Amino acid sequence: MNDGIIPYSSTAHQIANDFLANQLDIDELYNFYISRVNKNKAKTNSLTFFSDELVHAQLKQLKQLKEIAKKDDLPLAGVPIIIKDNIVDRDMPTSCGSRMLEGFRSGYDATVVQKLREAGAIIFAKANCDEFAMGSTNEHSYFGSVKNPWDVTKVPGGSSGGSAAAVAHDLAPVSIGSDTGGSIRQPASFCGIFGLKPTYGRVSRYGLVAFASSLDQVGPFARNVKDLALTYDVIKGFDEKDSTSVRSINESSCFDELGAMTDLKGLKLGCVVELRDSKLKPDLKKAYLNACDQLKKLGAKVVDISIPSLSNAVAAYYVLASAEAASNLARYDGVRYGYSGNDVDNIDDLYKSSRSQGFGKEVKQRIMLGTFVQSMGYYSSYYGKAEKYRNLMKEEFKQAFTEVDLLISPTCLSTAFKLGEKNKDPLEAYLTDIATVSANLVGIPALSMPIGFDDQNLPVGMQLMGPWYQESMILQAAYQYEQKNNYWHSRTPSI
Amino acid sequence: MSQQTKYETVIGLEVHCQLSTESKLFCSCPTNFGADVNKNTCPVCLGYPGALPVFNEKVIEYAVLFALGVGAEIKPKSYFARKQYFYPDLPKGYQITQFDKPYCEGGGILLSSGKKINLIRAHIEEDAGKSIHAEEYSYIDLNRAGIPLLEIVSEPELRTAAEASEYLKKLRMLVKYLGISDANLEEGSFRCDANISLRKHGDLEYGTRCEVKNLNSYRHIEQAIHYEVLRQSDLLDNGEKVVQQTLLFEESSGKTKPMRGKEDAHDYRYFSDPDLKAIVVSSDLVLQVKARMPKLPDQVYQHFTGNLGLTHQDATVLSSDKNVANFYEQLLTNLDSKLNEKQIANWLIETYLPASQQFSWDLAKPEISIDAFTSLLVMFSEGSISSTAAKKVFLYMIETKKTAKECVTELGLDQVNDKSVIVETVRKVLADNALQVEELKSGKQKVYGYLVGQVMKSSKGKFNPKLVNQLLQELLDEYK
Amino acid sequence: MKVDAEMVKYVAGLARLKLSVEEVSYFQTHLAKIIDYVSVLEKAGIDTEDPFLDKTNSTVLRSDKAIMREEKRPISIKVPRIVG
Repeated sequence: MNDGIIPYSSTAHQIANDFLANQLDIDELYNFYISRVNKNKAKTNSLTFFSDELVHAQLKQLKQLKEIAKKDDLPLAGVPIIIKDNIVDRDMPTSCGSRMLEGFRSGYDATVVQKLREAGAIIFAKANCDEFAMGSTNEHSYFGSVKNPWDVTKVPGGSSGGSAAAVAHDLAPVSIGSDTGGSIRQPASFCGIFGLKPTYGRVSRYGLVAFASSLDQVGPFARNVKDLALTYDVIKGFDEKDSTSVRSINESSCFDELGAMTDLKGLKLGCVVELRDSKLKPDLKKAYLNACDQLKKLGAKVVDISIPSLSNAVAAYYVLASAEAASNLARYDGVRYGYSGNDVDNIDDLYKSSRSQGFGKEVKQRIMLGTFVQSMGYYSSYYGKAEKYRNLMKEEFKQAFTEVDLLISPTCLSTAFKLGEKNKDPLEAYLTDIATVSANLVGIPALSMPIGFDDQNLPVGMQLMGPWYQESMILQAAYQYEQKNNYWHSRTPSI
Repeated sequence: MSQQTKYETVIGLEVHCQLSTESKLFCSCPTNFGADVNKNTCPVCLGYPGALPVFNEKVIEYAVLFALGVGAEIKPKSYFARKQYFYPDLPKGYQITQFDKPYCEGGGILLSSGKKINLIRAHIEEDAGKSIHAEEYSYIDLNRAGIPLLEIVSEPELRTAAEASEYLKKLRMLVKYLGISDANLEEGSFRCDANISLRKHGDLEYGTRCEVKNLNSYRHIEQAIHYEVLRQSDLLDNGEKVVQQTLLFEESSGKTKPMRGKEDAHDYRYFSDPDLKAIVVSSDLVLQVKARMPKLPDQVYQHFTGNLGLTHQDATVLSSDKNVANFYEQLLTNLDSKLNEKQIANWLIETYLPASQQFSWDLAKPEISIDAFTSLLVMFSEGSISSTAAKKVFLYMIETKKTAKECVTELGLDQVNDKSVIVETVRKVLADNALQVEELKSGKQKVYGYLVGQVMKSSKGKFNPKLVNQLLQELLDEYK
Repeated sequence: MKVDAEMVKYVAGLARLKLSVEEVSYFQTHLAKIIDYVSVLEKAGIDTEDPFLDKTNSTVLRSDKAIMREEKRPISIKVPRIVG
């Protein structure tokens, strides 16, 4: 459980605060974390890269930075942050959970990484993930499956399973993941922590290895809302290197605004009936309905709301995401970098052997689907239709937010599956994403917060979805819930 | 030839014209030709994981200039698409181009025959890299990958190789005039693909066409067209069908050969690029660009012939290059009627331009500036030097890089205009040639020339011939 | 929509994937299932326009300044000789 001098519940905002106020022995903190990582990472297999040398080098620089920078410029000073291994870093390899990029050195920092550095954070390690972020269980990594710290026979969720698991059993207080169809929210739910997918375009994708360009977003994981908001504030913002990044109508600090609400009076929450009424296990449903009650107790009005287009959301998602993925993965051809097939006579063989040997099965599956839906003769039936469907969903969500302030649902229709349970039939695995894909398709912000446990002591998560650019409102609502439902300290993962 | 009259040749041309921006289309890499292999590259144009494209704003300006120059319809919003295929010179596995929503459509190029060749469209896209083939391996240079291109597609309205050649020449001249491209055929910044098909005269439907790629000289283009016409008409004469294929022109044989390795190239799976948003061209932007537009070659030609009274030949030469046209206008202004339009044209065409070609000057920054040339012509117009002397001085200026005045002095070519000096020499010559003066008085007009010669000889040609004449006449009158 | 081995091989070819016999069979099965599932989109008969289309701003514009890559190592890219 807790084998260090530092209390288990060390938070990012506390670390930064204490470090800047000279009330924290940073070396001691890092001794704790480094030994914790070395002792425990194998238990969940949540990391793909860790180097204490690099950590110490960064610490040295941080100490110098602390002397010259203003306190306000270092909101994450001294905080160890783990980065999902599909985000590039100039010092660490970026393998994206794939043989194709095993050991790959990008030579440049993702904008998100650069911003974290500038805020004083220590880029602590790289987290394991499903190959090229494709998957919902983190069983599709070339470097082995990640295990759920609450029960190592279960999956942590995916594709940011490593990032979620690492924070869940405190290899770091905060981590960064990416979310294309639920890849932050679902593992947050399975691992009992908070995870945020921002509005599309609010966090730069420059340096995020692209899976589906119009759906991908980078976002934070944390064990409390303050850390989540603090980290989001640092990484958000327009980036001129990413043509899809946007300026918000409201650039104020989400962290500062957390206390703006004292309760949830006046907030209207729409409980999505299609998700609540689908096949939920009784213990999960109980936890979810209980959380709805808690929200009502806080003063929120909870109403039923229907989003009919949810019925085909998964279909639209998989057509669009696979098509963009197939296109984005065309650059992995063994020619300029990455895995290269040997013993080849001609360029075609080079491509085929590099890609066939470099990619895993799930990635190939998506590439096949994605290539098919755009190929001659089928484009209008599949890809064209999926695009139109997406527009329909945007309309419906736009309409929904005129009736309610936030939408709520279970993050996932189940809790963590058993390892091996969902990797026989790809379609079955895809269908589990029903609650999360919509937010990516329409581009709205969405958060998953831990609301309890099922009968097997596995975490249950609730999803809050908000209108475009309203991360702050979502975070405030989650914060209010968290303050009155102090659940995290009641239980901790077994490892 | 009988084959050529039996069928009508239908030619459409696709030109890929590199835009001469400082940086590439989607990244800040330099675009200079001839850099070390793969020097002008970065994660974006190398297709590294995580890299993203960002559009170069200068490209819109250049694209709008082109559209205005050909009279095309500019779309207020256009979009980028991905054209997907695998080839080593295509780092991302797709080319960012424009597909069903190009930025402009229509417009045309007017040929000297009065025939207008309409354009279907023009669009913006990125260039691919280059392969250098060795025995066992091919080496890929991605310096060129990502350089902005305008793809300009004509309607299949060209009917002869000569028309095709002229169309290309005019198009090339236009883009150079607009300052948007170097349009250098040898360096590959202006490349042409020809779509050629045949049909019986009077047929409305087009025949099957073949595409001949990467023709990089006017001669090759004409040769390729001629060969294709023969090849296709032979097939048709024998009752065979023309197979649609992509061909390469083989320089050594003058023939076209099928290009291998692009069989499934037809399934490009175009879709809107999700990494980029719309190219927006506002009416304000169009007005701004229009205001900055230089005069176009045809307009300049009209101005030279219509307003300035130059001959067709002179006007053609002077309007063929924007820099040359500017030189001419500048000289006109600088010399301010000291010399007339025709004289200035002659000096430019017969003296300045041949030198610029001989010494390979960059006309944007010539070795002898127009101002320097002006000072030379001013001295000529004022009579300080003769025409022959001026030409000598010009060459000396190139050699020594000194000013006209300095060169004239150094060469000792100052024309003497001092009447008192000339008069003295004339008197002396008359005195020394009394016999000839007598002969002249008695009517032998030929002697006059001899006397002039003597005066000029003793001055080493420096005396202003007009003044010599005038003063000699005056003094001879005295002798009467 | 029939997903047969021919189709699978064609798509694999487009994507430059070399599939083993078992893989062809695997993808044939699962691709067919997924495509069958997503075919519901076609039947849904949707033809909606993007509600945010008029708000599409200009793509981000970058000023035309050349910046040299920092990396000093020369990059050599070599492939088996390309024919044709």
